[in-house]
Amino acid sequence: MTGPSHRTSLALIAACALSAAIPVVASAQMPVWLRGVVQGAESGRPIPGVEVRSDAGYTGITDANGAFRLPSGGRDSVRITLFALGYLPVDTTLAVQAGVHVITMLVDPVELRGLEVLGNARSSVGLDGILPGELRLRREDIRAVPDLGEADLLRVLAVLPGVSTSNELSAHLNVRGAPADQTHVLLNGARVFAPYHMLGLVGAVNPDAVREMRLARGYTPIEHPGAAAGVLSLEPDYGAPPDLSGTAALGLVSARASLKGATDDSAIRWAVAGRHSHFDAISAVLGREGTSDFSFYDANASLAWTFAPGNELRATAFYSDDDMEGSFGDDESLRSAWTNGVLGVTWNAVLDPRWEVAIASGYSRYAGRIGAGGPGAETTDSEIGEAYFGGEVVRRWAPADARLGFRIAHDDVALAGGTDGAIVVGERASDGVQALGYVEAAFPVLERVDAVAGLRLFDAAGRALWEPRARAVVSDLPWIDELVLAATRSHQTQSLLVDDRYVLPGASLWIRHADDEPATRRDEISATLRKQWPDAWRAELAVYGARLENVLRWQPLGTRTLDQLRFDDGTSFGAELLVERHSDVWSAWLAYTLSRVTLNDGNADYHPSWDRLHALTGLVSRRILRHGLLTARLELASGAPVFPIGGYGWIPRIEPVRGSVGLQEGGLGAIFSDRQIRRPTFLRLDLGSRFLWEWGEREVGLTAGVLNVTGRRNVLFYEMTTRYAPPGQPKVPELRPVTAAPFRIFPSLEVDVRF
Amino acid sequence: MSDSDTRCPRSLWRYAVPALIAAAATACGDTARPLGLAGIDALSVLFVVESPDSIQPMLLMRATPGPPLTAAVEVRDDADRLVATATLPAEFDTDELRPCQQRYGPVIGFARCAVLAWTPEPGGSYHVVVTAPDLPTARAEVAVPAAYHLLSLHAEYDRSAVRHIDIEWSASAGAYRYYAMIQPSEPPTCFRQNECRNQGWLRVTEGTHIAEDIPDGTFADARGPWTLSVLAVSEPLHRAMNSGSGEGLFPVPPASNVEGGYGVMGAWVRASELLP
Repeated sequence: MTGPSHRTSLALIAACALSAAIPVVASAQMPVWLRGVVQGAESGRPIPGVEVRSDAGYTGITDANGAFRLPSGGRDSVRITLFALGYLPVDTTLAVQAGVHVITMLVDPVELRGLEVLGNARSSVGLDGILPGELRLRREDIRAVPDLGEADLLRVLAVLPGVSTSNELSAHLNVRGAPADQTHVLLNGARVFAPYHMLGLVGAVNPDAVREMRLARGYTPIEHPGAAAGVLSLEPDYGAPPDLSGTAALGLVSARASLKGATDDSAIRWAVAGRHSHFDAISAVLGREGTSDFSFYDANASLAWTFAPGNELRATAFYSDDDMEGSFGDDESLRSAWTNGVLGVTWNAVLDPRWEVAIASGYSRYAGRIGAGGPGAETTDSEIGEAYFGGEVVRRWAPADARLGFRIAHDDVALAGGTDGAIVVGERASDGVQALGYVEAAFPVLERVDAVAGLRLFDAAGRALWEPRARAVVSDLPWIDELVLAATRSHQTQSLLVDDRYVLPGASLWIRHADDEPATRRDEISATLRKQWPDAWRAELAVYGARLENVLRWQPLGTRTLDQLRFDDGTSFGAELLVERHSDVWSAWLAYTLSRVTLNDGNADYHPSWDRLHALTGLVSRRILRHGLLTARLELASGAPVFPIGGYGWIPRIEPVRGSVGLQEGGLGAIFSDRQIRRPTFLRLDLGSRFLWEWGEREVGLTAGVLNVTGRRNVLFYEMTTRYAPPGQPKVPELRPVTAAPFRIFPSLEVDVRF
Repeated sequence: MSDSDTRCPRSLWRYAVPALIAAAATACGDTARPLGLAGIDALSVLFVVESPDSIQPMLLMRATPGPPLTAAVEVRDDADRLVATATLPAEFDTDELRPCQQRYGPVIGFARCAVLAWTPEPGGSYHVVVTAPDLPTARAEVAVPAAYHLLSLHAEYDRSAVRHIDIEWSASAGAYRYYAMIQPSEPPTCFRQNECRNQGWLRVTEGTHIAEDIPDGTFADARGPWTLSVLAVSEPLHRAMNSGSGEGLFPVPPASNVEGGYGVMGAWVRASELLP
């Protein structure tokens, strides 16, 4: 909850103090670190996210205050180059001295680059260090990644190591083998319960309203409880220096606009953004009107107010609305609608170099409705709301830091189904208080070993859940820059109700674990190795193992009643490798994930629908001409497991006119097999391009791409067919892929204007 | 362009090009081929035991279509006495299905019909065992609700419709729900078999009394005389008749009480009265 901008500046001070406090090191050789602050030449404001490379072979990223530090490698002077989106590169030589260099960068009117994963360019040392397993992406970079219709925040995350989705329709993120509900999506600290639009094809939050995404895998931020496996933090864009700026974009799926500004003294910065879909109009043009109608809109507003030195108030409001209807066959349809409302407020104060205080409060609400089975069918309604208030105090010593915090939340969760025809039969509703208290301390252990240890007490509906956590960071090893060993425990008591034997797109259905139902628990240990090479290559390898307890499973028989919830135990382990190289012309990264998730239903082991043993994703971008960027994106992964329909049984129905029993129309009811099989290997190759032109003081961008260029049937649904053999011969059931989409190859197109 | 930039493309292409070629080659694979068999080696059974009746037909098939089915059925009472048996021969004769079609209507699937000559006792409990070569033995307990009778019946009706009904019956031990229905002697015109399935008047209740007006049009062009039936239905049968959602995109399997197989074996006891 403490603002990173203030933490990092104090971290820099603390680092200076630390180096001064160790005379043995300081007096025996030149200063170990080259330090600097990067500012905009015109605005004078710090520039975060600048990539700083030294000829000594090190690369760093500036923090929220524009500060960086790099190892000097024992040199008197170091030549560095700076790269930042929207700025002209800087190439300069600096003397290694005790002070902090100030470097300015000129704005480049036109900038393009590929997607860069920032996690492995950061250190995990200290309270402000990047979390083990954390990855960061910049908003601007995602434009380089071709995606359905237009670039999207959430779907681009699916290419990261350790992240998977159950199917092509889903924007739900499965992080390190966990169900989607174990990864919370936060906007300025407040939850977005249904962070997607349409069938899940598009994320709910307008990309123009977000500056950066931070995905914590496994080791979640200590101040946010209730997410067993991951937290995706969307850092809002709080506006720009005084000149008014904005964007307007028109894509295949939606049109969006944003406006950003600030007061003359930049004390108040603000940004607003909105988006509305027109996919239904596209469907009408394609002659598919009425078959699948989707419409959505969303709106964001953010404000940052520095009302006193060291004091900043940040507020974000977000609302989204979705409405969809799809028809399948003669009489089957799916209708769904859902809304998100989010308000998050934070106040960060730096009282003095030793003390920081942060307050966070907010409210999130979600309401969804879904019904299937034809006109007039019953619907299931889901509502969840959460109001929270929290605070944190940070005390910094040299060389140790500590924080103490709390968070109190009140949630109310209601699920109202119907009778036998609804998606869910029955209802449940409950509310309660979730209280969190935590303490965490960072301290050096040995010369190259730093540790962070913490403890959370999470009281969820009367359950007192202890959650210890610790990480140790070993720096400057002979062949690697950093080794991070971590262990953590997390619980959650809210889950999504999903029967993952089939795809049911639409509104999310949330439940709160009843008092007699257990909390879901995840115990994870991990090791992360980070390495940078002098020629801009860098790599990160992480291995993890987790024990899963009480993971919700809902595979109802007969009717979809709520008394058929089960809680399974299991394991998840894997390895994640990310290799990157970025230059101002080329940008490339390759990610490989080895993952295995196994759960046990009490009788036998099974693999959930997001379990993929191998996943390889790659992205190669090349800047062409002066204003163009070409990108190729590849995903190659093991097929996901399914519980196929393996047989049939009769469905009896009363027939009043006959006064007897008959068989349901269609006759046979599907019976899912308990033998899992896997879909074919998933492969997707996308090609994308982005071109920018200057138009007066404006920039005009064109983003175009082709998805799934090989036309591979990356199938959404499967059907059981029976091959009719000659009389006397066995009739063989076969599970065949059936694509649910009218096209195999999808276009991506967007025009945007920035001013 | 710096030195590092001139080196970068070569090193990138060295890995990227083979990767893309490999990806394209992999994409040529036939993903439309079957994924493999995940069939279910078990019996699907539908067995509605009706009292009073002396013929009890049972529908049987393999849950996953396969070789022709042969099977043997045994019914034993509480005292483990064998009260009924039936055997399905290897040869299939289409006439075999006739008793099942009379009770269950048109039969869908690769069905066999085993007919048991058996008059179940109201209130009795029976153990039904179905054995078939190569398949697990399917078992179920069938509890027949106890006998009951109609206590009173008042109705307003003519040949074209029943407009009001007031009926009361005695409780039946073992009945989970009561189904009250009215059958016409001349059923409505149905151009397709399924059209008539949802027509008519039906009330399902836990109580033993129903009094209500019946809306116009309930019986379409059906004609009386009318027969009023009350069925005391066992729990497994009621759950099966109110569960399952077919083969659509969002299926839910029907409820089952068959151990070692799928489907339902249940019972009902009928009380009926012809409206004079």
